[in-house]
Amino acid sequence: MFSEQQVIEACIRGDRSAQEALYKKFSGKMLAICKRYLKDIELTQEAFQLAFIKVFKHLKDFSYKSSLETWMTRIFIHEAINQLRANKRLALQVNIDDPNLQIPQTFNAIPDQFDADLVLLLMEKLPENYKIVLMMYAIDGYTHKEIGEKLNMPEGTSRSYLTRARSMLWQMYQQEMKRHESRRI
Amino acid sequence: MSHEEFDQKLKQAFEHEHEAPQAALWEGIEGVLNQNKRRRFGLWLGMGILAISVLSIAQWLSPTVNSQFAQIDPVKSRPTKHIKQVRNTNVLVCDPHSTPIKTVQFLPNMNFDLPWRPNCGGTPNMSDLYPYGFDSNPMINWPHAMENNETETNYLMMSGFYKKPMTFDDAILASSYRKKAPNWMNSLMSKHHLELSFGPQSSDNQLAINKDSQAWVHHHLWENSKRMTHKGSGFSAKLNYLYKIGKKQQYGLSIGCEYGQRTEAIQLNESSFDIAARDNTGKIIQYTQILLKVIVGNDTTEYLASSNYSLAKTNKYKIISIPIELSRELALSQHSFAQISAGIGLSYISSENNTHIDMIWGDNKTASKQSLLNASLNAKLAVFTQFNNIGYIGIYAGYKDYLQPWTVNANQYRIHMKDMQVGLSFRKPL
Repeated sequence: MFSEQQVIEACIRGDRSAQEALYKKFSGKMLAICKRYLKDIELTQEAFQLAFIKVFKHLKDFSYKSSLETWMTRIFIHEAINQLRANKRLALQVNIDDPNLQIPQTFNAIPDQFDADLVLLLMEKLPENYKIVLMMYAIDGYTHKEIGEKLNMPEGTSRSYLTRARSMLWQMYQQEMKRHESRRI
Repeated sequence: MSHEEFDQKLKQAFEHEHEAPQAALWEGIEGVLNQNKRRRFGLWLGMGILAISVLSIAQWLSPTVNSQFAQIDPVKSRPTKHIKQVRNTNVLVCDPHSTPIKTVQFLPNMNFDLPWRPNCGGTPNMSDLYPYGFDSNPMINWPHAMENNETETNYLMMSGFYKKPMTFDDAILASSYRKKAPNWMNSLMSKHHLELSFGPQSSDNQLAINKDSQAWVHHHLWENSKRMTHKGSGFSAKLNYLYKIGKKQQYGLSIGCEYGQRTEAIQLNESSFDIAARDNTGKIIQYTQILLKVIVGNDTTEYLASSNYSLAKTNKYKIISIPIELSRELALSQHSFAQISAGIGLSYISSENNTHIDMIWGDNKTASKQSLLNASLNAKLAVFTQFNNIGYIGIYAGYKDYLQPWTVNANQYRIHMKDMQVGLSFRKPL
């Protein structure tokens, strides 16, 4: 059994079996991340492949300051955002259909655990920028400063998007749950 | 529940996210990794071919030992008779019963007794060769490197003169050759030289906009035209004939042929909040700033509309030139010299599928074929050193400024081209 560091070193040397082992270990998680950001299957696969090639290319720069998974996750998210940008899905979007959106200070009756599939489905209904900011901040642990730099927007805008995204998601989630309950009755 | 807790729950929901990848995805990645490996191999192969080419050129420039002797034959220079006499011993067959050579005359009036038979193996005793000690005769200024047999043999073997153990007559020949061979200055004094130079270059493409800023070209582009100087790269190779002039032949006049390729890597990404309102002809009537306010509940977000000008393209230019240059040479040491040259050149520049931004409408325009006959100002600084007695090898840094700018998009703007060249030079006296 080889340690992660040994596999990394072998990958840097260009050992194909080590590269395949690394791929097998992380491909499932990384593909899910790309899919979460991009949804479109072709774009997802393209970003996934490009990101893995970047991982192998830049593995020599990995400094062991964070876990390999965290380091790789950042590369995959970066590539997914590049794909979004290339396909102009991150262009200026103004959502003017939500004048009645209530922004709650706290969230009541949140279940013990969100249904990931349902959340993913609902997040797709959010404006693209809202969705990306919400995922980067809440799920992938980026700060507003990092989001601002990555998405080329002021920190304040990132905060604003996040607040709205949370509220919209929560409203939609509640509605879905109510619909689900009424069906059961 | 607070926002943080909401985010935490959301994060937990995706903690174990997993999507099984198709086998084809790994195959695609593996294919690219293999391609990179092949590309690396190709790079090494290219470098190998380049190295072999350089060595081949050096070999081609190199005359054989015999022709070197023929060129600077010590037999033809003084002293002649005695050397010739000793050289003839090469054809002698060893005869153990032959009478040992008693006397070899190195220089007129200098006779040494040598109890040694030519071509019978062994080497002569150096004390026999130099009976009066080294440097004893001011007429023979023996180099100190020749003070023992081993050093002499090493010198000859390293210089590739001999592939066999040195014999007595070899030693004499070599000594004579070294004493009488033309020195660096002598071969530099040759009037005719051929110079081959090649190397990479860095290209500079400066923008000069023709139209007045307010009426046609967006003022943001006008004001930032300096930022739109795009760098590029390329290479050049030239073959020059150099004719030395002047009393000491320190000046030179050269003419040659140069082929080069240069690029213009456009990375244009400019945006302006000033939106131009234009009439049908493209003339700007006024500039406005458009502010979008999005009010959701108590939350207001403001956006300023912007106009963007972006283009990412590498344009390629092929250049064939005839440079005419005047040079001055300055000796730096016994074996090296610096060369400063300046001149003009006549160049034919051509380009295909050259893309540039339309400064009036902001979109991109591609020209299928363009060409320009141009003149250039050239300057070069080179340092040469003697290369294995066969010529000179040097490095150079050159600067080329094309006088006539390249016109783009129906005279909207021009590109002032300048190249900074570096590379290797080989010079062969003819």
